[in-house]
Amino acid sequence: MRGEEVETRAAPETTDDVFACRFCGRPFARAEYRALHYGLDHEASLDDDQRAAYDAALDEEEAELRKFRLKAALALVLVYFGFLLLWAVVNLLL
Amino acid sequence: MDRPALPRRLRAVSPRRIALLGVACVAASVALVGTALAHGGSLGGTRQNLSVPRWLVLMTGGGAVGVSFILASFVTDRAFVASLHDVRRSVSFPTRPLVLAGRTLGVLGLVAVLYTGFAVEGGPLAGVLPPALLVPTEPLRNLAVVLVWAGWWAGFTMTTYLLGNTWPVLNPWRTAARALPSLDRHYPESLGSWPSVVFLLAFVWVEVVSPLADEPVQLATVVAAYTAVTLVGAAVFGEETWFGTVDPISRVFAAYGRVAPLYAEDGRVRARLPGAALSDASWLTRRGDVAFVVALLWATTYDGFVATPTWRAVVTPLVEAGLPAPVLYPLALAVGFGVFYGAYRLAAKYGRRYADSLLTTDELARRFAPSLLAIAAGYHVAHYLGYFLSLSPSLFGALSNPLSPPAPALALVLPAWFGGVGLAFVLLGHVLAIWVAHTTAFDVFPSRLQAIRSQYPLTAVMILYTMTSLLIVSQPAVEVPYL
Ligand SMILES: [Zn+2]
Repeated sequence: MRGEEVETRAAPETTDDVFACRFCGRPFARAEYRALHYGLDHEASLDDDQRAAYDAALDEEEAELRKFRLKAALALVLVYFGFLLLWAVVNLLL
Repeated sequence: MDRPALPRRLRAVSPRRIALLGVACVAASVALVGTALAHGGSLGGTRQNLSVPRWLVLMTGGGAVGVSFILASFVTDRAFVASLHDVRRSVSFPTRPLVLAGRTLGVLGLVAVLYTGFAVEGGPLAGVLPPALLVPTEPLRNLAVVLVWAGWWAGFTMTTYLLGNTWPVLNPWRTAARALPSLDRHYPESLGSWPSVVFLLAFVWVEVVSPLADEPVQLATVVAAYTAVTLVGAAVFGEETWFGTVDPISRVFAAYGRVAPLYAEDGRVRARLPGAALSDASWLTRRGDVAFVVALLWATTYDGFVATPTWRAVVTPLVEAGLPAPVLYPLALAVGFGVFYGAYRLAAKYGRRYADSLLTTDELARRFAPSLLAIAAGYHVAHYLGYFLSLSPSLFGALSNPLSPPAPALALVLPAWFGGVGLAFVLLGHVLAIWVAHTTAFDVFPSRLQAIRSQYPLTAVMILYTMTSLLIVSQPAVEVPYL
């Protein structure tokens, strides 16, 4: 660290079982994250295995996103009706 | 530093924890608003007359920010998210004559402020100048007062985030420093940007507690002192270092300029979508830079907060218990900054955990800091647009005839619905901030779920900021107590 400048990456002692990027060295906590990073930032220099890993990680990410969207839609409905109810009650009482 | 890689188990727990945190935030603010209403009732409604209870307005505002986060999380097409930020247009027009005109205007403004501040009846120049060259002392007819507060602090600041940052050109001190020799001493790197944080907070403190808005001579004295410090600083450390790292005013406008649709690049004026540049944090390199952005947000908030019945209700028992008011004001300024900064750092820390990221908390705090500027800008409009409009007749009167401006007979009275404009801008700023943070997260994390999860704590903090701003904007402005 030079002067007050911000350190970007986690300190070495915390990175014992990390998945480091082969091209830029950025560490990731999970293999899927690194696979996604390969596809997003180093697409041109990938070999076949890495490309396959990227596609698999994308599929898994998409499946998880679908699950997340269901929960998010539910949360949206709950918040909306929660506030509707709250406003109705307040208007009734005032 | 914590252990970064957390077990997947945490994911199952996180939404419940977030919900708990949200409930706690809401409960805390409801309690706060409850006391505010209890005390505020006796002061009578002056400006805002809300037909719904204030706690409901606050909760709904917080809810709106939360909902905009959920809505943003549905937008997961990386190409689309990135495309909005690459919309760039070149607006070609010659900038050189404009630069020259801008510098002249800035220097003229400074000279006008110093002259009309000192050359008042009873001022230091009263004995030297013939009476015909003196200007009125009443604040609303004094050019120095209305130019600094209405024209510059309210009006000009709004142009820096609504249009573009023209301060590097207008800045009369920069123009003067350019003409002076420089020693180019090495700036102590270990200080980072912390001096600008301290100067900004000190500046806001002076603005709030001193009668600078009423007394032209004092105002001109402060301007003269600032001139001396700035010119010496720029001469010692060099123009770029001083105005880029230390001078709080230049840094405030530079930060606001990141929100604006117009910017200068390679001597050309270019256009982008408002807020589009906020997902780029490359201009923030130090911890102190992040603290400065938070300080800017808090400074604008504090400025409004001390003029609310809530602050009066908090401060009255403390002063009656014997705490001196001159201590309370800087104390509240420092504590508030600590709370805002602490909340933001905590959000970065937990965001890092929820995203299971190996980037440092510092780095995440740095990357997401620019999104706070959208909030600060929205709140600045809410706070100053009405102020600027109602003072604009005085400003134009004083500008048209500085020596004997017309009496401000025609005061602009804003309609009752104008209070709603403030609420709308607070919300608009937060919604923009949510979107900016969403796009930043997509840029930072390779996994889109990581990106979304990293935003839970930051959204909670933004909801807290929204409610704080709404608490201030939804109340009538009262006299700042005990000064
Ligand atoms: Zn890489």
